[in-house]
Amino acid sequence: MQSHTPSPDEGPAGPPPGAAPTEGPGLSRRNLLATLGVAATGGALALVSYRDEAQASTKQAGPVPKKAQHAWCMVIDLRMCDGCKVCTTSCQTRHSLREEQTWIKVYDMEDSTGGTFPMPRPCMMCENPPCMYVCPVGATLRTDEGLVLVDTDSCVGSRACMAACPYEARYFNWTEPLPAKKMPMPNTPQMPVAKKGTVGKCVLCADRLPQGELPACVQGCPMGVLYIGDLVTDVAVNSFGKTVLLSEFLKANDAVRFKEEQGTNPRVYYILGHGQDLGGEA
Amino acid sequence: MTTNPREASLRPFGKPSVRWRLAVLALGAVVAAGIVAWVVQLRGGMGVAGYNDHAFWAIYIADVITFIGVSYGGAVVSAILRLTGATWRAPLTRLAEGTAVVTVLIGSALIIPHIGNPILLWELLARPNLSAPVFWDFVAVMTYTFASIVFFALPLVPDMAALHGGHAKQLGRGRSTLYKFISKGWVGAPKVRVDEPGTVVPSST
Repeated sequence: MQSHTPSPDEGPAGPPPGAAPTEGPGLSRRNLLATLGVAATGGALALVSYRDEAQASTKQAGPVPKKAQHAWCMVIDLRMCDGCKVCTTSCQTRHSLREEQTWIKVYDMEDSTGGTFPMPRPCMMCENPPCMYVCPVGATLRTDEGLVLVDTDSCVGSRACMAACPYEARYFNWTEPLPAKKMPMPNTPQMPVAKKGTVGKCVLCADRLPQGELPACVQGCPMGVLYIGDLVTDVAVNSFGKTVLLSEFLKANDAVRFKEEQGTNPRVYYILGHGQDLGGEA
Repeated sequence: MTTNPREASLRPFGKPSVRWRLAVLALGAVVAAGIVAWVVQLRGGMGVAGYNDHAFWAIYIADVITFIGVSYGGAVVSAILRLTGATWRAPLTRLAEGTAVVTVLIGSALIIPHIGNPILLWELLARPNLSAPVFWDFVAVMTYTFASIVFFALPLVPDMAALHGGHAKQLGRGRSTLYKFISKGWVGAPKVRVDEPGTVVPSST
């Protein structure tokens, strides 16, 4: 954010210098038009700078903002995944989701030999999230720690985000959601309570992460496929308690990201097995 | 039936026929059915209309685009007639602009059942996200609506003056007051237009 923020009283100020050379009594037409123009420009500038400030807090140049203490990410080791879908059901149990609301969904992908392999897909927690940019009311937000979350209290249900997401990671509450049994908590973007007519998505169990607990899918995975990681402290851990040095782990195993060519900079890394391919140019 | 163009033009302002009332009744029933369906959808969620996570934009947004497209057609017709200088354009322009106004209003209104949480629609104005295409769609449609209403209302002024001036009794008090209001300030010569056969419904565009 540059220092071009206009002061709030700049807009409706009087006629600008030199705008009306012939000052008659009362408001001349030229004078009025000039004043209106200045007011409109000032208002627009104020609005734009407001958005800039709002985004500056979430959008940083580098992948990890300096002030962030964590940068949550996920590593998915496809070599170990047997497609049991326990991650999906653990997530649905924790978030009281319907069967078709698969915040982490296991796709069947085709490998180079024509066989299939399972591929879990959570929210990619993009550093450049298209869903956030297209929301008409700014109900999708991105935290300093890199979590893309939805404020269901302001979601109008336009579903523009669902159209924008390249990963189809967003799910709508088309009917009255199941009652939130497990979570007698207030509705927050970190731990949303589903509401009819609003969108929902994987939140990486954002309420658990600060407590040092694993997300439901990571905890539930019987194969240790899913790792929750932190790019700042450079560690990742799976359900077996296996802790790895994140950067080395990713480099040594040639980790890739899904749909890299979309420019979304996802924070979910995949480790491919032999012959496996996520498609695209990644 | 008379062949006098002036009387023919005034026929819609007379007493409506039984067939007209029947048509209003039948179309009103369709509207009522639509409102009932919308209430059902509001109570049950959009899933009752067959929406799901794979088909999340469907008939409503298609309706929005269709009606707004028809509306743009109205503007195109009147613009082409104006640009080519067709002297007989007046009644067609009136029709085209009338269509444009009505369809753009219907199209915009169909956004309301399209969104999942219509009670928060005010947020679109109160806290817009300037990077969102949907917000700029909204701005474009509102601009077009405003312009259509202006283009529809301006040519009405002399006609309203003509109607109000010569036929106040025939119109009844409500319409007479309305036409007087719309034509307020018109100081042209409506008589000239009325006395000229065939141009009682002219358009000043």
